[in-house]
Amino acid sequence: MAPLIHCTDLAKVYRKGAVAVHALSGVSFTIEAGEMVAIMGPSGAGKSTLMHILGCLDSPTSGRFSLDGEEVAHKSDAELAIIRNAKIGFTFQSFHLLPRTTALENVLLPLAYSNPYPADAEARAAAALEAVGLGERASHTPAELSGGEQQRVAIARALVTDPQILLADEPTGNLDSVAGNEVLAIFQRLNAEGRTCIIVTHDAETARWTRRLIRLKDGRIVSDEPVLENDRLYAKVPAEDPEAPCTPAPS
Amino acid sequence: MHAGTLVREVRRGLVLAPRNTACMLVGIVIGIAAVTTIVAMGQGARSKVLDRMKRFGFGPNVIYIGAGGGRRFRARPRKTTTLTFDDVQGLWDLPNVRLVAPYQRERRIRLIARRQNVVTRVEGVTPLWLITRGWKMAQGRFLTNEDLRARRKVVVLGTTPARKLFGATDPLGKLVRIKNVPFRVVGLFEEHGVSEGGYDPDDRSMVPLTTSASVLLHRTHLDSIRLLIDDVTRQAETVAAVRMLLRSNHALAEAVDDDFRIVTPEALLRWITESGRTLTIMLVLIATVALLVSGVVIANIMLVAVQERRSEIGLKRSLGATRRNIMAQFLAEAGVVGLLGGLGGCALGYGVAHLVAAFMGYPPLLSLKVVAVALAFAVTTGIVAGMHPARVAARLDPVEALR
Ligand SMILES: Nc1ncnc2c1ncn2[C@@H]1O[C@H](COP(=O)(O)OP(=O)(O)O)[C@@H](O)[C@H]1O
Ligand SMILES: [Mg+2]
Repeated sequence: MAPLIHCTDLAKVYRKGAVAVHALSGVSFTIEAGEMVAIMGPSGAGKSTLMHILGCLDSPTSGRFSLDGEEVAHKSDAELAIIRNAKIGFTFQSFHLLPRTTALENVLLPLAYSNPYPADAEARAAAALEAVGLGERASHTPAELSGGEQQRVAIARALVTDPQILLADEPTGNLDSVAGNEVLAIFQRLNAEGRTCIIVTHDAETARWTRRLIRLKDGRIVSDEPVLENDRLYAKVPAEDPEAPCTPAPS
Repeated sequence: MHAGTLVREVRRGLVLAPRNTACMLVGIVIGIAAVTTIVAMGQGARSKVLDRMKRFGFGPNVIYIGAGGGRRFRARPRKTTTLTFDDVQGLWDLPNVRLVAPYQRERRIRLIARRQNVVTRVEGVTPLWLITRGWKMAQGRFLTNEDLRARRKVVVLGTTPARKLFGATDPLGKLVRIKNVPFRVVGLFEEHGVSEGGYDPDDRSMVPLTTSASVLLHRTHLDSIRLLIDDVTRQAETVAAVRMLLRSNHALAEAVDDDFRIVTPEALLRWITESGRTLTIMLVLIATVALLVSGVVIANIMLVAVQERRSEIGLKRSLGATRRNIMAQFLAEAGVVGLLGGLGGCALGYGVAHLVAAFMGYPPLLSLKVVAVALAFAVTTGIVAGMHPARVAARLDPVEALR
């Protein structure tokens, strides 16, 4: 079976007049279904650029990228939109929830772009909120929720279309460590349930919640290795019991 | 894209930026209000004239001669004293003229019965009046040649003054004092009912022309003469003959304008449609300018809104919205602004027309067709104005928009 994500020699070049910024160059890797990967590097390393390409929001300047066995690089805008809707769930550092809109309606939003619109949309949105522990907060607006809760609504929104891949760009960047750990624990649990998670971060602590760490620097991969000390942590979060307390990785 | 979500997102887009929405609405409301005001006034005026024509029994075989020059249909009493009984004599002798019905009146005279009094129109006519109008008597009789010859003090009442003076009791044979002269009621007209334009044809009383001239109005000049002709196809030459006769009777020099108006149904209709055409041209101009301005306002505000809503646009794209989905949302918002603005504009326009109408003396008319056209224009303006901003929104690079 083809790997879920397969990149070969990805490059992204931004041109500003005569100056060319090589945001990514020679990036190659494979991610199998069910992996939990951190993409780490200092600011400006090209992490977000890579995530946007993996999420079919952006296309590489050169190189090949296949998703679920399909070559993506040269698809049309409408085709990419369908892939994003069905296979990808994004989470961002700044949540990007619609203001003055209830959590439930925020979570419903991706389904609006699904074709056909699912008959059980509301039930699915409610279930997604339940899955991030916010079943009781469905009618709250972002202003009535804490940062951690807002990010969990955003995760529910990413989940609602039942995508294969969750892509998170600095999901804990705007959160304190307690709220951040809660969010990471949710990703961990979702991964334990079989969903592929890719978390972009500049922070080594966050990376330790994952099982594989890809380091980027100046647009190139500098290392790609398993996160070993993490395995103990996994044992503490059984998938069958989502209510179990989540302990952050030991420092 | 799911329709329910589109509706919700459009509402959200408009509600979340109330100031933007209000600015966009104001432009289009004013534009549409200006147009509907003028249309409502124009239609009101037109319907009043058509209404009158019908009430006056203005058929194709009628020629109306009004005292005083100018182009207006309505008679101007007492300004001109040249239309007289002599003219009536001459008119009877013209070829193709079947009958001649002279008319004089005073608009407000007090009629006094034993207990009640009423102010109504008093008209001096000949027995032919009834034929030229096709009116019928409800009770009693109309004026006769005998009444005319003997200058009898008899009066025929319309239902409006009759009801005020006598209530439910039979008015026939009763006495009514007009300018202190006692008149006997000999007839009562059938009721016609108040017209759409607010004109009450039943608010009148009629006496023999000879009596009105000698006893009530003390004048021999007329307010109008109505002719019925035999051959409608020869109407033009009859009109020419009438004009020649009257000009020579009134001793008008070559360069002097007519001191009377000859109005035929065709001429009246032509006049109405002509003024309708000028009105239409004016309307199109005003509408174009108003909608152009509100379109530019909407386009600019939306363009700013697109920039303010970049992250929302980027987010939706990341969730699977296509460029078309984004475009559809902004176009729908613009269309709804147009629709709401159009509705508001129609309401405001109708209100303003009512205010103006209070001074002009006829009620405004706003047909469903006009409302529909106005709404269609408003929605089109919104959508056309939204086209460019919507395209800008759709073309935003999602990555840039999310940054
Ligand atoms: N639209 C753009 N135009 C020009 N340069 C860009 C653009 N987007 C990103 N870059 C550059 O590409 C590099 C990688 O950016 P990014 O992927 O956002 O880094 P990270 O997310 O790791 O901080 C940076 O040097 C950044 O300045
Ligand atoms: Mg970044």
